Amino acid sequence: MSGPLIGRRVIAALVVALCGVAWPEMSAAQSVSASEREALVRLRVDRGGRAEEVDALLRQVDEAAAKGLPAAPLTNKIREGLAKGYDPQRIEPVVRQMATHLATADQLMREMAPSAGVGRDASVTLLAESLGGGVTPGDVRELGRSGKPASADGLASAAKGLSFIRDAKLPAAEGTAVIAEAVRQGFRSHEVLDLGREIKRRERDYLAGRANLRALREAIARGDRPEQLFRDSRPAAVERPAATRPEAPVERPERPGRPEAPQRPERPERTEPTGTRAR
Amino acid sequence: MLIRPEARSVALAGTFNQWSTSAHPLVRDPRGGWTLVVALPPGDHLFMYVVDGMQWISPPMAEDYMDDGFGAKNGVVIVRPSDR
Repeated sequence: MSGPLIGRRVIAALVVALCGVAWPEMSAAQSVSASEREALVRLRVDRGGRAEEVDALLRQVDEAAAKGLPAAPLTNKIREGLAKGYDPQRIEPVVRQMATHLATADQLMREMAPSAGVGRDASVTLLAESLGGGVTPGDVRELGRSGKPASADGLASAAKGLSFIRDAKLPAAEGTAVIAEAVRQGFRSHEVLDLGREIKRRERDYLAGRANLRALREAIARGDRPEQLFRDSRPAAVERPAATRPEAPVERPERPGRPEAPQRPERPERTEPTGTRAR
Repeated sequence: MLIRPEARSVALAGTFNQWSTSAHPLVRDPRGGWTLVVALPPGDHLFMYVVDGMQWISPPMAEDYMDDGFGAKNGVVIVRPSDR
């Protein structure tokens, strides 16, 4: 056996040995940097937990990353859960469900926006968030068919806009039609998101029949721009409909005594929607 | 802003600071209100207040809310693109 060959074999053996030593840590957090893992472990250990518990959570991130799914939202959720002091057993199903939504979003994106390039991960993440908010894959496909979103970002924003309408418990079919029309009319992504949010803010009006999604869709179809919709009575941020109020106990600032509201004259009944401003 | 006269510290924790409980401390005014101005990039940012380093509080006046998956609600602050 020649000298150089023996040398190569020794080097190969050393490399194998080093890999063996390093493997347990690498396998625990391949898609998360060492410093990030350390920070997560510190969060857990500071509350009396163990590093292995964090590694078990990070394995889910690795599995998702191995499938080509965005890892960052999962890592962020783990960090959020640990920072808030939740046990890993409580965090694990939340992360697993997020991974499931990410996988579905990724599949939908492959079907409907296969040419997505830069920013695809952000779009998949936003679409997954929408699925977590009650939008179904069927809704997304319907948006794709009727609204023809041109991009991954457009599709994800449309789905997210619809999730606000879903959250307000308004009819999904009519909500889909509104969002699809907005996309057709060239609303930009943040405008589609604001449209969904505004509908959610006015949930009570829609549920009580004081406004309707069909009239809104018609206004958009006629060419009303985002700034023309809702401009007559934007509610203050603190006067939120019930669906947007936090259910967990929250601290509220003390309000000064409100002055008595002046009596308003009765409004005459409307005969037809005006069409220029949807509420 | 959060009114918490009895608090010893209040911090802002959210997606913009990796949910750090110390990166963005609020400043107390004489009446017990806690405030902080933070510059954020366009997009939706989730956040909560952390009182005395331990107690996580859903922001009472957020523009929107989103379930955090653990039974609480994160506040959402929406920073719209400046070209709007």
